[in-house]
Amino acid sequence: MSDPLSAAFRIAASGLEAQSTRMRVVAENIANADSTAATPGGDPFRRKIVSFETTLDRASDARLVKIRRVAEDERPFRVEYDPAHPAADDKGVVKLPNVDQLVELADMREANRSYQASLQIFRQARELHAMTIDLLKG
Amino acid sequence: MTDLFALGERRLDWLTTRQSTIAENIANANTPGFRPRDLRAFVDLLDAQPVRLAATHPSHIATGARDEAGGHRAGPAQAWETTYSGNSVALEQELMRASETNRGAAVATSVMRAFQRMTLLNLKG
Repeated sequence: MSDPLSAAFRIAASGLEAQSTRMRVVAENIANADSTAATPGGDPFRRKIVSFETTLDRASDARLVKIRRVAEDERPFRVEYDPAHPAADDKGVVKLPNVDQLVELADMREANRSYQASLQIFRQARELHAMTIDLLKG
Repeated sequence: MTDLFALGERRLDWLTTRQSTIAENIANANTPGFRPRDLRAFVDLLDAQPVRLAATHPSHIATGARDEAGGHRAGPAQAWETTYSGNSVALEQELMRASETNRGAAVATSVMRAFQRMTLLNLKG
């Protein structure tokens, strides 16, 4: 059996990585909230969603988290009537990305919170480590 | 007398295993369907000393010689909330458990150090 503390470090690191990837995808969604198609009548940017899954790390018997996949949101696009827009089709309708800013902000907040929690665990595991080493100092 | 060091070691072992279990719970705080786990209480672990078969022959299979490490891997923790995705990790609860674990480790190491000082004092006379 491996050292549970180093397993704790590895697990916390996997949490940090997963949440930061999620944050990156949220950033992409928000940045592209108004990215329309380049051609008239084409599809605009489609919102992306991250999904997580638990994996067992056999070396340390730890349940890590990893990104299962980054899927695309299948919800319909927003449409707007704007004949002057370069991406408008022959009826003058423009398709806008299916990104909801509010949902993205909520998602970002949740990712932030989980990231902080993992970071806190990392810090505490380090403290535990330090305490154990301090025993040697007598 | 020196049993206290063995006890301290078991306590630290339990605490670090608990810390890594909490780390699992927190890392998977947003994984759909994930159920958090916790360890059995340390007191229960001490009370439930497993009955061991006496090994009177070298070819006897050792039973329960060192089963604590895996033995205190425990079942699901009581959760405060379950979200729509079937995940029942409450971050606040896990962080509380984590700081509880850290306090426990501080106490355990302090006691061990005090005991070591005492032993040294006895030796020096």
